[in-house]
Amino acid sequence: MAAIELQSEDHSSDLDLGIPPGRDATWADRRLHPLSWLFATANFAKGFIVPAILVLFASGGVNYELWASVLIVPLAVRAVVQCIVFRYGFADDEMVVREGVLTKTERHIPYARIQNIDLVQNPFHRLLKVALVRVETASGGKPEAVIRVLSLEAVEEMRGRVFGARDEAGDVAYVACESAAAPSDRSAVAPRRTLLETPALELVKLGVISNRGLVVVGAAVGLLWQQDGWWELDWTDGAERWTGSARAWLETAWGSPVLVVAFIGLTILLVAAFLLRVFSIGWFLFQLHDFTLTRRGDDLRVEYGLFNRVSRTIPRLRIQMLKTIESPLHRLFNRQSVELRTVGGGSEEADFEDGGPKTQGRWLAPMIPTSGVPQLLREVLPQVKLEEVQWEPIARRAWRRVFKRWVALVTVLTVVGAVFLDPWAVALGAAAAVLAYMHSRLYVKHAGYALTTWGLLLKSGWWERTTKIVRYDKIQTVGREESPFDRRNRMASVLVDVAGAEMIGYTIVIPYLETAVAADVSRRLYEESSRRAFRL
Amino acid sequence: MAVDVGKTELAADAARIVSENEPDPQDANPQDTVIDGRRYRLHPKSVVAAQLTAAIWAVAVAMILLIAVLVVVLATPLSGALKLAALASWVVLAALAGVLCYRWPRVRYDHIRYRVDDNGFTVYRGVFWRSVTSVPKARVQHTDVSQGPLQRGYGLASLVIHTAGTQDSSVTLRGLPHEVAMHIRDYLIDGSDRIAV
Repeated sequence: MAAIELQSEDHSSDLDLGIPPGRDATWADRRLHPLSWLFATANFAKGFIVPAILVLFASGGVNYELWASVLIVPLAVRAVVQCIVFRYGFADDEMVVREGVLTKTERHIPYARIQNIDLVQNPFHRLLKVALVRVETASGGKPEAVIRVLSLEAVEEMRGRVFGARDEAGDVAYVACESAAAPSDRSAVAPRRTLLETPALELVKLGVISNRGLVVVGAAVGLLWQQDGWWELDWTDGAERWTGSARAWLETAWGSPVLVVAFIGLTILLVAAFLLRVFSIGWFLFQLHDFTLTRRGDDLRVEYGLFNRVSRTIPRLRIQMLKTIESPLHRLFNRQSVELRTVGGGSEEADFEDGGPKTQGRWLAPMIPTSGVPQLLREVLPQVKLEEVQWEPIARRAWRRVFKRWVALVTVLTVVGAVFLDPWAVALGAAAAVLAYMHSRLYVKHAGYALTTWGLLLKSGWWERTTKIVRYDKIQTVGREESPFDRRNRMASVLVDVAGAEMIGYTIVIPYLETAVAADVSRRLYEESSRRAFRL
Repeated sequence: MAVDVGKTELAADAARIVSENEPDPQDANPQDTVIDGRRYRLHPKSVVAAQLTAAIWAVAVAMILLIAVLVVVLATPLSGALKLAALASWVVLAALAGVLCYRWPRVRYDHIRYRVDDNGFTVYRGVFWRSVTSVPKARVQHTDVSQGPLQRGYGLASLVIHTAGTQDSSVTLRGLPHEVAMHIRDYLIDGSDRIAV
């Protein structure tokens, strides 16, 4: 209590913002870790040091650009002072954060509003046993509070306070809707159970499946782009010299220049694809190293990362949507990936700027054996019984519309190709039309939806198969849409909007339904979601 | 999909999503009747308001274009035929814009309906691409009722319903009678059955 008294004397006078120095202000009694200033300046300097060194090397000496960087010193001092004056604390039902030197901010974050508490630890953090903490609410965009940095004990205290207090408050709606399915194991002292561990071999497989290598290539190109003169190199000349001799040799051996060009092209393509996979594998080994998913009561915890270690606590109640992904390569390995969507702080830039690694969606399980998926989903949503779902098909005659659309595209391309390039394009077009037919049949065959007692399931795609799962109480709005083409075919789509969805396009669309079916589905969704209260 | 009961009724309902012109009440004094699960049209005056708004924009754009055309005609050494073509195309465009400003608000008005029932709020709209959006009452985060100067002149208002969703984070309906908008707002935010988010 002494410390609290002290704080109120310190700050209630200079926080003269018309905010009455209420009870809560006095609760902000905890400081950052003593070494926080180190990380604050490091984070601050990060943006300047690389350009400064580049300038130093490029110009070969000290010049005005370097002198200009001296201007950052006052800003760095400000960052340090901000660390020193930063306070946070816990009231009965809310967290209080006070920050700022000249402009003071006091923020009250009710525990019930906190979506999750994320930790990021880079190796220096780990060495000093501290972590960067992001407190996220549903406000979207950037986290409600970024706390740089706290000791691990302080983080545990925070998690205990926030999630413990919330458990006592009781998530009535949630308990009510799942009470039948799951025995109440929400006590805070329940042991933490491991639901999933992803060994390195699994990450290698994930790398093979994913195209994440493109990110690495993109970053490399971006870096090279900044080097002057790189772009002026004569690439074709260099390539010519490399492939020239091989080409000459092959041409004499095979006697057909076209064949040789095709061969070399194919080889380059294969090598590129191979390298991409290697990058992908490296990326995942690095980013998702030692991925573990654990559960205690209603809180899931995801931990991953080799260099930057991320630890993310996600209350089950806060999951807006689940999505399983199964590409052909997934099927080859007999695996699936499971993603989840939560609200707030999810924007990738925010993750990046605040020192965390860029998240790839939000993995619930990057790689899991297909047979383990139902069990995993049950842990997260006790009501889900994936094996028992009765899938309803979309309109069967929809395949004609999918087919027509592709045929139109193929026809245009074929005509253009045949007229301007080669009459053989017609043969290619015919082959594409056959593929389009296959695609449209398979598309309809693999699309489906199910309205259960607790939520909506939607499956789509035959090449990359996805299943989306959303509970009725997470549905925000229900829509129905008819394009002119829909109307001509007496069809409609049903659209469902959830919080935290992708910004582009409705996340959940049931396309090509018979009009009557669409009307019925949307009415049922509307009524089911109206009956349930929404808790973020 | 098991649509057994009332299939024909549903089909009929879906078929006339927004196109039908059932004799909707004109919302003259509808405080007590609007929350009854029936479809209502916007206030007829909203057409005039929309026409005026469109006209103001059209005139502003047309004037800018006219200045551009006049600059071309008076200050460039183009041939007379080209200058005439520029003037003519301005006249044609302006005429088209005029017709559109007059007709489109009316057409759009004919395709907009709203419905307030026990579950929440539903908007039907769209001339070519038709859509129905339903916001459950329990998902309404907050609502705005606003009036522009033109709307105030006609006693109209815009109702904006905010949800926690992504695409439909706000659903806007312009051209309601002001009292009706207030009434719907009061109904939607009266959260006796809601747990605070």
